[in-house]
Amino acid sequence: MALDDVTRIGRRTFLRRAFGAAGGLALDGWIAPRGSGGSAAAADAPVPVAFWHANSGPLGTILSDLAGQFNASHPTYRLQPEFVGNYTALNQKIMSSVAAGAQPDAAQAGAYGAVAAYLRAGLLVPVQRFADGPDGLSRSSLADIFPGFREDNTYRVEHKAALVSWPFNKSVLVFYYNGTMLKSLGLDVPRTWDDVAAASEKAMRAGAVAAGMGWTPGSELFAALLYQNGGRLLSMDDTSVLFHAEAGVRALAFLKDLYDRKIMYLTKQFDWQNDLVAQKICFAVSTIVSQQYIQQDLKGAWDLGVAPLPAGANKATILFGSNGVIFAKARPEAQAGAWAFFKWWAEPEQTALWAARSHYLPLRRSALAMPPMRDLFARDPRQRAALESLDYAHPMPDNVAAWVRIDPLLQDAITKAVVGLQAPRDALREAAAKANAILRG
Amino acid sequence: MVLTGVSAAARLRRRPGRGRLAGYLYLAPAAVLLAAFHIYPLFYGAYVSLFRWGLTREAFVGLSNYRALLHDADFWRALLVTTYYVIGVVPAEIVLGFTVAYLLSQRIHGRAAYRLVYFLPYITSMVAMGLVWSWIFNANFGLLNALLRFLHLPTPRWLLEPRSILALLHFGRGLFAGPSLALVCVTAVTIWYYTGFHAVVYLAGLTAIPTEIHEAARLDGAGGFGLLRRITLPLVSPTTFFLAVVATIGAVQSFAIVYTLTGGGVSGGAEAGGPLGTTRVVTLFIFTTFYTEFRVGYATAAAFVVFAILLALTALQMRIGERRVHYLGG
Repeated sequence: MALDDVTRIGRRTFLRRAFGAAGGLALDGWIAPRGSGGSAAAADAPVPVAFWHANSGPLGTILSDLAGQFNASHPTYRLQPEFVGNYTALNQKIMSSVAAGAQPDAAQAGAYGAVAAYLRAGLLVPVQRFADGPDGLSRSSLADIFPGFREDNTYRVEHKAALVSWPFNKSVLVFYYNGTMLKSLGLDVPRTWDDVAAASEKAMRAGAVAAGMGWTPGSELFAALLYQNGGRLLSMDDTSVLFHAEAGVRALAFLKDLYDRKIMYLTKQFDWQNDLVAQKICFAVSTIVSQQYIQQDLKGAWDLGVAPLPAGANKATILFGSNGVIFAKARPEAQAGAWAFFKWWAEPEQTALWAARSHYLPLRRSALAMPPMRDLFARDPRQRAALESLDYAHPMPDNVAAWVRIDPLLQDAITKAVVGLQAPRDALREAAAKANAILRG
Repeated sequence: MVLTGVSAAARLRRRPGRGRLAGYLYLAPAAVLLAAFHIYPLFYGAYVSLFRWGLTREAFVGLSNYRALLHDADFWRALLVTTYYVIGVVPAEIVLGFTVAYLLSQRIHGRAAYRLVYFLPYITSMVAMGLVWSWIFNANFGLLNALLRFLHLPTPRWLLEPRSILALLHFGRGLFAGPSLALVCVTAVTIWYYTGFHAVVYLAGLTAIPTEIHEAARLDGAGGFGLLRRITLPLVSPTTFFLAVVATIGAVQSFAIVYTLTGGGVSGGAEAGGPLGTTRVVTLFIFTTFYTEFRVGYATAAAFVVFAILLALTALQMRIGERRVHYLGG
């Protein structure tokens, strides 16, 4: 009888068995890598590919739908998307998984220098290896991907430029305006920064808004203005910063001027978004993805306009968004599966579908002719604004590992200059000296 | 067979080894948890701090991380910000906590409701509370500035203001200007949040004072302020001592309030501690160094320095405090 068997075993045996079982469960759950494993898997079973991402809510649903389509069209692999929190949480979880030696097979890597840090730690297998391999990309297919996205994912590997990560969800800095207000005041959509200043002053004089723009100080708008003035953030070989040159000083002086003339006030985090919706300001600068959030808050109260970022001496804007990486510790089959997914993700049909549903940008030019994109443009012509910007969009230098420490220095310099604690030239020069010391290591 | 307590004790007396084993077994769960989640990480952290350690271990650098911290202006600045914060928070929490508790210990109408009101902030979600206060302090359209505007008073930029109150009044510069207005806002919110907790602990301390002592003192002619100064305050000194130690440790370790009020959650937390790093307390320094800059070894070394400072501070508090604490019946 079973009960007798249980009662008959000695206490030591019972404890040994209990600890054995508990330990086995614990080891299975905690120590086994989160990525693909399963030596017992049948040879013809699909290879599991663990993919960690930071797309919550509707974005997560779209991603799951597309993952399902990938699995259906690629029976060799079973992509397992797993939402692990926002970009910060994703970074933290990847750091923990590295410490535990249990990375996923692939992951979305947010901005803030994550890819550069992973690469430096030897955690990644550069995507270039797969792109050049037998299941790779043709030269024309690679050229079809928007140049800014290629640049954004290119790093120096053994003194050569190589694609390390793969564009995943990409967006770009655009200009938002209150279309209803501009119309009522008889104003055109600003095309240059001078237009923005003039329109803001007119709207303020009319008592329609408290200020033209609200802005949370950050390096991206400064960088856009710097590029518009013909400057660069870093030297060509990434060994020194150039943001303190004349183009940068002019960009910062311009931002300070907007602040001093009360055309622009400073906000914290996304407060500007609430102020725009409440018609306390009539202009804002943010990524194209903000459109759906503003629209959601607006509830049709007024007409939200989207335009390319106003131009200075030249046109320039900044790229945002995250990229995909493949981990070196993953099994070769899982790495191949992750690459198959990334490649499939960037194909015209899929990237068009993703862009049309998520408001992120399609990754390649030929996607614009796909039915989902044509439908999107017919439904919402404002989406073209972001795409028009792509030809002159620059990524932030997140592919330089030290940038993650330089960016806060630049942000502080911008804030100091704008609020009048330091002259723009001095603030940038001081930040540049510290940044160059970091770059020298 | 049913063992009586007496016979079990007798058996244990006969076999002392068994009794010891039972003792160890009772201790084991707590000891295992402490070892796994406190002692092992402590030693492992010490080990990590001796390496150049990004996402993975790179090279043994001995005490270089500690030496680099000595020359890191950002770290020293974070320590200074933390010092301002602790000096601002701890005495105010204790004084206000005691005052509220003392008033609530009197026979007043609606005492239970007042107790609830004062304790309410402490049981509110810190993040939710942080967001609400962000709105109150909003420089452009916040409640506080709306009120000031209504009263025709100047409207400061509160959480966006890197200058100190003294600097705003054209006194003091640089390090000697004192905390930024933004840090003063964070300090005020922290005090508001924790006063209820301090009041509840003080209430427990006040309740523990035997009424006979107060009555005897009254019969001897003591009353009002004299009673408070000579009887009540000395007898709640163990509570004050406990709260001083706990509040200091808590203030040095403060993270969530500062993070929420100063812009955490954007750019991987890199913006938290603004404006211009004037609210970047040492825990935020460790957090951003670890999670945003991926300098794990360096951040761990910083954590150990803070640990050492906190240990020394607590030891000092114990040394000074214990001499001044009056225990009932002690």
